[in-house]
Amino acid sequence: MKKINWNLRIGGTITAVLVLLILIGTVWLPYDPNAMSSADKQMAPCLAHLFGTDNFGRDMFSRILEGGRTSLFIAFCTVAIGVVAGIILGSLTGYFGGWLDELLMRICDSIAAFPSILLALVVVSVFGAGKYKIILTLGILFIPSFARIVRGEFAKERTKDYVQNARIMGAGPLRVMFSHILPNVQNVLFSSVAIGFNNAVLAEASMSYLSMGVQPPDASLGRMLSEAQSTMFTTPWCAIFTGGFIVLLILGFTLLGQGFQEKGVQ
Amino acid sequence: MKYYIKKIITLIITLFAVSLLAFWAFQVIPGDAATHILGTEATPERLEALREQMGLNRPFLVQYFDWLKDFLFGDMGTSYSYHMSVKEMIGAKLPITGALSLMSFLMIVIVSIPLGMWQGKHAGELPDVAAGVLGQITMSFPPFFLGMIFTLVFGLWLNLFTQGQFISYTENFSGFLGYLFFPALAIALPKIAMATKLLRSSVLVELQQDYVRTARSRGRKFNSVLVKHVLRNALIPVVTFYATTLADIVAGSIIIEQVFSVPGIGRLLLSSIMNRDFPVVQAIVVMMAALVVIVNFITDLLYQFIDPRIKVQ
Repeated sequence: MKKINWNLRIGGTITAVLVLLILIGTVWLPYDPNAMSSADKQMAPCLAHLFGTDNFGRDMFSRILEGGRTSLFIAFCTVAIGVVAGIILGSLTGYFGGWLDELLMRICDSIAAFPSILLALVVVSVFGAGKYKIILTLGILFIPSFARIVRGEFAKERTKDYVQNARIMGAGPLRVMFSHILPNVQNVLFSSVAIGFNNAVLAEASMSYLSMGVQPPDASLGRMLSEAQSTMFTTPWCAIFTGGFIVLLILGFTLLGQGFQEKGVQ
Repeated sequence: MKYYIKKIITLIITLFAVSLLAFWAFQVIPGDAATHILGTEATPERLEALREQMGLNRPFLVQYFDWLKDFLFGDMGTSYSYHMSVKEMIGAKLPITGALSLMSFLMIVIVSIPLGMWQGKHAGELPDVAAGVLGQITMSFPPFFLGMIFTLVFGLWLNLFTQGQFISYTENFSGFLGYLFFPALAIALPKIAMATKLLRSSVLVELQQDYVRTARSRGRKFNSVLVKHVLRNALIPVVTFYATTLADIVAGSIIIEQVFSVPGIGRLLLSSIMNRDFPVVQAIVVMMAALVVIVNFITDLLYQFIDPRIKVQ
């Protein structure tokens, strides 16, 4: 009997639902996320306002979807930078080896050893905050972890029979790397992409919470949380739903990552 | 012996590279120290005079070694905003962040080892599955959101502490530790879940080994095999996790201190970044980076004691 990959299924469902909600939110939201209304101030969750309203009468459901969009956009760009650069660096060093491989991996090791939030704070203090600066900073910080994983897989696959075979048939190094090895390491790659998304969402939310990340007028879940903290006693639902959305996003990506890992092992 | 010498040389080179990088990062900022002190409206003559006085006109490497020498002897420069010695500013905050990090680390180790062993022993049973699901959810909580929930539940509703009313260690030491309990827990909880999961799967792998069967066939009780034999082997991968966690805890304290208004190194770092008080930022970053490098070094050495096979490789 084939074992059901629950991690993949549950993680995939959570992620799909959240991403779908955010995508629908780009074309239609129940309320204008920035429209204030003194009549609807501090309303607890009800049918008209699913997640309630905040101190200014803004609909939390709409605001969370708007913030989620920024978080997801940043995570997507960050992971894209990390994955593309990581695949190029990791496949070249893993396939060819040599002193350059040794040097690059030592550098990657030392970057990966540092907490990314500390490095991101240094970059922000030098260059300032903002959406695109955060994307670039986190993207570059994520390259080492992807490069290391891809390198390890390529170094492992390199010696296998099918690679030797392709070489004997006359395939050039680029063809061997990208049309033979890459499809065989896809599960590992998908898993690291999902974990990358998870780290990116967490890092962006933390930076924005510290007001070192996304700057207004861009909405951001982390920023909304830091604003909700001051009204914790009167409108606790603001913080709980915003934070809950982040938790679900992270949970979905973590489970997806673990699911792909299991799939790769099977 | 050769192994240790190689490790120590790598440590020194890494520390050197990290400090050079940190020094360089704060050199590329537009406007030098003289502009920061005198402001943008200072006359070029005054700026030039101050640069001469502070030695900012010297070559980069000369400045770096000068700064490094002062740093090693404990002179970390003067803050732009407070005109205080950076060493004093950091020294006052260090015990707070130190206590917070240590508390958090102890929580992780004390809870995850017995919990991971217990889950490994009862793998597949209902309590283990329930703990696994709970752990998976806990892992997904950003520490700062956990901290906010704690301030709501334990602070506002149950009145166990008052958010924002930090108690200094000089006036009431147990009150100080009491205030730090929830911040430490907020950092620790997700890490406890991760460490427990790791230890559980590591215990499961070890339980399949021949030595377990051998010890059992000689009449040793299962629990005694678990504690005396399995734990030591199962801990090997977890020790690496604990070490990387230590760096994460220190980084996590930057955020958590903000949530609970704890006046530690993290808050000092953030306010210094906001005020563009670069000598303070530079000193804190170099210290944190050095801590990470040194902890990694100690982990490598610690490995020798837990797993003597590593030295052979």
